[in-house]
Amino acid sequence: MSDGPRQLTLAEWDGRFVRGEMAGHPQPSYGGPPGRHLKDGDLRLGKLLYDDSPAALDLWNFLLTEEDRLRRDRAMGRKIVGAMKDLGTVPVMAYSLPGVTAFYPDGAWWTPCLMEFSSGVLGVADALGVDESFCPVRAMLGAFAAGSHFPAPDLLVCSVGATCDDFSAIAQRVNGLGHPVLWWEIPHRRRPEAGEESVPLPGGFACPREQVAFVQSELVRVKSAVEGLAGELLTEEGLRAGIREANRVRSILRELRRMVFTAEVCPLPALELLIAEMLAIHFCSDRAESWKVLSSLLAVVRGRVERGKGYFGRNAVKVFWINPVADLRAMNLLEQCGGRICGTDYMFCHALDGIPGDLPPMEALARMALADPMVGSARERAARICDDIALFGAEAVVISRIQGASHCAMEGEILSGMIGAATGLPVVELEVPPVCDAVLPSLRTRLRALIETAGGRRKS
Amino acid sequence: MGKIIYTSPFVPPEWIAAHGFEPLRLVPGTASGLEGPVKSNEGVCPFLRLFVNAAVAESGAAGLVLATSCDQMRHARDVLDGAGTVPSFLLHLPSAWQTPTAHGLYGSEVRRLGRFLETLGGAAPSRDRLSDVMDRYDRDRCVAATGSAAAPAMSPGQRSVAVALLGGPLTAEDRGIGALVVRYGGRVVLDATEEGERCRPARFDRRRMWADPLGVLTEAYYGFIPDVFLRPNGELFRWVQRETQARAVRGVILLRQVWCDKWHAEVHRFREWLKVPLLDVDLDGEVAGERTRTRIQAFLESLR
Repeated sequence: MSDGPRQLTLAEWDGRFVRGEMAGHPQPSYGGPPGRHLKDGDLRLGKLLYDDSPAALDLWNFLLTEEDRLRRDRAMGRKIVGAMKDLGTVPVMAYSLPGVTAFYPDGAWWTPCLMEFSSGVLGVADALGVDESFCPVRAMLGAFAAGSHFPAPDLLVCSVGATCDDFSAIAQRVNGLGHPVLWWEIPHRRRPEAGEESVPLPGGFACPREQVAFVQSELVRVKSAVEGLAGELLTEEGLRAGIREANRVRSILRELRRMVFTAEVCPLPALELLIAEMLAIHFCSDRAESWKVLSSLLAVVRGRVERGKGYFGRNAVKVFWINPVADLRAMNLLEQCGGRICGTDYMFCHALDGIPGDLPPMEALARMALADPMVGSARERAARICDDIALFGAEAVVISRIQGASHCAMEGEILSGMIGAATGLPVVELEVPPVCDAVLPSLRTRLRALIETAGGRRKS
Repeated sequence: MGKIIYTSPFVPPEWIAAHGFEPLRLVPGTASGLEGPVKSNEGVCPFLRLFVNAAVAESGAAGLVLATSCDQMRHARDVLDGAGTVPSFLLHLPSAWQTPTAHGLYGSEVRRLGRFLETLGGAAPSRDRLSDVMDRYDRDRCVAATGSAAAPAMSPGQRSVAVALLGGPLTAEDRGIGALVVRYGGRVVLDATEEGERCRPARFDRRRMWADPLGVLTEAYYGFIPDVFLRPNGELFRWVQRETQARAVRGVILLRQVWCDKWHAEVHRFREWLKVPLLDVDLDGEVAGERTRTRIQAFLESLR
């Protein structure tokens, strides 16, 4: 009998609580049996498989109580900033002020999945003329209109420019619903030209000095708005401290990813790693707690790696996954097909990179914003992915297309062609809808074919 | 010197011409746009596909200028880089337009375009040269101000229905919509598509044009043309509302490429803003089919 971890169903997790098996694990304020979230309407949870560690349970409870915690913060008088699209930059600034909480309304992206369409947010978006031809982020418009999924932010900011059309269009509609948006520009990152000073960015990209200065000036506008909201100035030292705290979280995540991707046996399933990575972008509305949650998870992973314990056996095919999935179940599916995650680009790699600590802090944030893989060329994004594939030893690549997303139509083919040519690895493109049950057989077939192909290459 | 091909109304042809090239605002069509580096994948904008493919097939093309007002156009640069065809330039158009720094960035991008043109053999224009070219274009635009490719000449009969066309870029095939309007008893009194009067630059400030031509040029384009991609884009709504009311428009036909999120997302808002009915027509790069023709016919009938 193996003493390794075993994935649990939601009912099995709840059973542990009923039998008192969790008594020895101190529960955080948001802790409890996970089945309560299903009763609250997160129906998809009943169809997922979970890591069996208490640390993973804390991770899930932390994620699924975010809405409640935001409302609690509002009740306590904290100011709430809704950051949209930049995925990792504005929250670093916002959390540097003591009375401010920041979150991404973009997170409503997963609401149709988690609630298996029962939330009604897509219906509201439909009624507003934003139909299924748009990316699932249209759920955010429905959530704003319904006013029931997160507290209305005191300040709403959105990066535009080199961003996907769906998001820009939907954020404009949010603005039209009476939620004024502070727009800030993120230009298309370009390579320095002859005679221009080249500035290195986190993640290995570079851009001209002029672009860094421009983005810095845009972020200064955001900073002024956040300061106005908070009623106090954000000092350079305060922002430096905020960056240090953000980097603490990011360094845990980088270590977590390194251990998970390089371990001989997979020490943490893909789903929990995806959720953990998401904490990087806005700390799931509580920076200090996100550090604790991730530290515990890292300790679990470290212990498993040291003991050589994990999931899916030693022969699981190592897969690099590109873009987030609209249905979390797809991550379970990959593993059921014989794969394991060994590298990811969920469109926010820049939120995992360390923010330069040796620069004036606003410049450091500007450089980070420009390091977003989505604001540059798809070729640069592909190059970074190829580097990570080489680093972590992935054997196959999945490009997860996002239903209706404007960038995927052009980008998917470029990524697929470049990565395939540069690495020689098998690549498949999938499209995962918010609830993928209806297309599960086709997804399974495609994933199995990929895994078989990659497995076959090992033998040869 | 060859042609510099572009489609965005925010690319100033005066700047290209002053560098010694022939600016060509290409209207793509199925005749030359079906085959090329951009494939007909699901979700790819039909206009973009036809435009990029037609541009690389255009004889005498020395360069291609794309703009970031559309995310797919932004990514088209990657396709062109991989195809190794015509040299291309990506002009970043700031969406958040209300700050001086955004206007400064646009000016900087136009200057960068100039440097790109120099790499292709163009000559940086003197102030006088640029002013002369601007003067010529400004006068030509005044003469042509009443014309519109999508709104063909017609005899405005007493009973014809005044219609506005609104929307983004149109292919050669899409331009046939204007003729359909006439055939079914309408007349286009306002062309607010990307090639119509909505996207014409301001008249140049002649008091300053000879001293600071580039400054006047960039001001006339950026910050003047109301467009759907700008954030916020309320100026577009105010412009359309004002012009439709001034011309007693009785119905608006919104023409959008099938995957264009920016225009699609605003259909609902236009219906709220406008006091007249709006017909939402999605375009797929082909000649308008029976369904579209019937919809336009029924729309015009209902307005009589």
